[in-house]
Order: sequence, then structure tokens, then C-alpha cells
Amino acid sequence: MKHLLMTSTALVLTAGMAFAQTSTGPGVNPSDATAHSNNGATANEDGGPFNRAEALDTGGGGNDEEARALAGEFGDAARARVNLSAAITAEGGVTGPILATVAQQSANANLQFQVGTANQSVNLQSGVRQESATMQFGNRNKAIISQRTAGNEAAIAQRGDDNDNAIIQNGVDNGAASAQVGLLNVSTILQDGNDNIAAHTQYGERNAAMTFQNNGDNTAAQVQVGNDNKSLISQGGGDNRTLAALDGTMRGVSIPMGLTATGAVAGAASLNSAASIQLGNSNLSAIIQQGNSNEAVNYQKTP
Amino acid sequence: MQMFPILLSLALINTNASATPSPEGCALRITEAGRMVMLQGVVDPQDWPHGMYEMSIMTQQGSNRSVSRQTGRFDGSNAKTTDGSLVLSTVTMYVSDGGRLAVTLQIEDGDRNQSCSFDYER
Repeated sequence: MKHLLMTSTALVLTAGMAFAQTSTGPGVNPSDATAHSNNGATANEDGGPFNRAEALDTGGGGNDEEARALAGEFGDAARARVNLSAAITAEGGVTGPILATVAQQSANANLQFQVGTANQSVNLQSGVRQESATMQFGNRNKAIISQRTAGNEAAIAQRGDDNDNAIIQNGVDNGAASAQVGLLNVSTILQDGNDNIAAHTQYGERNAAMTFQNNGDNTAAQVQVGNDNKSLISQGGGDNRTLAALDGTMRGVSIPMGLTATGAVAGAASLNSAASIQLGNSNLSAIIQQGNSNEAVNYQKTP
Repeated sequence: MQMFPILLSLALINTNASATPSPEGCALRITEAGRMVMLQGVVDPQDWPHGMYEMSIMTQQGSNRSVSRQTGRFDGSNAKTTDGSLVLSTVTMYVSDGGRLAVTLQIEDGDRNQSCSFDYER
């Protein structure tokens, strides 16, 4: 039995209102998915250390964001984390001794780590104080990080084959972390503004996680465990939106096929928070929030 | 535009190597720690107190490919190395046996410009 929760319509209709929070599905533990404006979003498969995504922001503005994504299970995991607080680091790692960190610095800095065959990694950074890290273990994985202006951080960790990952951030002090374990997963995080933070965790096959955040201080966390799950979190991006990387490459997010939203429009959005968990197979979800200080949680589980 | 190609072929593991700034003030530094290679684009602040830079690295390791391109402004607020050079950009890569890097640093300030580059093969 598939439990489908679509928060998009309700949230579109209540755009601009605060504290619209929902959760459903058997076995849901309220602490597994949280979304609090001005505080952050978290999503966790089962309360354990793996398959968790956290986008934390201790307050509006400032340099206090942190994103953590840990996908997989013991012995077969990938981790990505960025921390924009005092000790800024961006790192990607996998279970075992391989761990890399990019320390805080005034110059732009990047780390790239590839093991396997036919992996592709692109890092594009323009501005100052930006850090990024990409780690790829497996075959034919693709990753692109593009950051412009100042103080942005991004980390991608991929383990498996044929995964696709994109983080594009324009503005100041945005952060994003994405970890993928499995096959053919697609993760897209697009952030246009300041102080946005997002984390994606995927473990399985053919999952698609998309986040777009517009303006400032938005937080989003997504976890997908299983196969063929599709999820969109849009905070200020309406039901579809694209953003260009520094080399002109366009990346987009859109509402998953099979879901519809009426009246969703893109516009400035601040201090929104959203968390999504999809466990099992073929779940579809869209959280679309407009305005400021909205909160939403989606929890879906199939046997 | 003046070019300073340097061909480095370093096969030793756990070695450190660096290229000091050229007299013209533009240099690429390489530091090895095992298979991790750190590349830094630096300038002598006496020659280049401020300006714009672009550092590009193309990597080929077997069939793996990566590209890193970083651009931005620099001035006296950039971090400095122990010898006083300004650090413009840092890239760290894992380089397996047979891996190749092609690195280029371009700097400009008004109508002045310069570039330096080198190729690296493990």
C-alpha cells in the first residue's frame, strides 16, 4: 500500500502563512522529520546514524548554517557536509579511512576525489571565500558544483554507479550537501539568494530529489531510501525553475510527473523550512512554499 | 601574455614538491601528500597587490575526468604563505597512477596580465 502525501496544493493555497506542518504514514516518528522556520530542517530514516539529512540554521542571516547528508549503511556509505560557522569546512567522505576536508580560507578552494571509471566532476567557483568538495567512488557518476559571489559551500559524495548530482548556488553564504549511494539517483539543489541551506540523502536506485530555494534563510532536508522515489521542495521557485551554472549549463527542478499544483508561482521567499522522507518505492511528493516562514514536513513509506 | 610552462613528472609517493614564485610574481605551487595533490595559485603581492585571477585544472585519470575553474578578485586581504605570497586559489585532487593534470593560472590588473601553467603526471 502506498501512502501519498502531497503538501503542495495546501501550501500553495496558504502561501505566506506560517506553521503549516503535516506528517503522515505508518510508523512515523515526529522526530524523524522536522521543519522549523529560522531553525532548520531535518529528515532521518529511522533515528539511526545513516540515511539522514540535516539543514541547520540557528538564526536569520549570519554565517551559522550547516548541512549534513549521510547515505547508505555501515560499510557502504557516503557523507557530505558543509559548515558555514566559525570553522568552515566542506568535506565528502565514505565509510573507511578516506575523508577529505577543505578548510576555511579567503581564497576559493576545491577538492576533487575520483576512484573508479568514467566519473565526471565539474567545479566552478567565482568570487571569494567559497569551498567545495566532490568525492566519487564507482563508475559513470556525474557531479557539478557551481557557486558565485561569496562564502558559498557545497559538498557532494557519490558511491555507486551512474548517479547524477548538481549543486548551483548564487549569492552569499549558501550551503548544500548531497550524498548518494546506489544507482542512477539524481540530486539537484539550486539556491539563489543568501544564507540558504539544503541537504539531500539518497540510498537506492533511480530516486530523484530536487530542491530550489529563493531569497534567504530557507532550509530544506530530504531523505530517500528505496527505489524510484521523486521529491520536490520548492521555496520561492513555484512548480518548476531553472538556474544556470557559471559555464552556462542549465539545471532545473520541477514537480514530479503525476502530481499537479495550481497557482504556484516563483517569488522571493525567506525563512521557510521543509523536510521530506520517502521510504520504499515509487513515492511522489512536492512541497511548494511561497512567502515567508512556512514550515512543512512530508513522510511517505511503502512496505 | 607570457607563458611559463613547467613539466613535472613525479612518481614518488609521500613526497612534497613546490614551485616558488617566478620573478614576475605568478606561480603555481604543488604539494603532495600520498596520492593527494594540492595546487595553489599564488602571486607576489609586490608585483600584484590586487587584480583578478582565473585558475583552471583539467584532470584525466583513466576514464575519469574532472574540471575545476575558480575565478575572483584578490587583494591584500587574501591569505599569505610563509614567504608572503598571496594565495588566490586552492585545489586538492586525488591523483592515481597515470593520472594527469593540466593547470593554468591567469592574472590581470587593468591592462597588465600574465599566466603560468604546468602539466603534472603521476
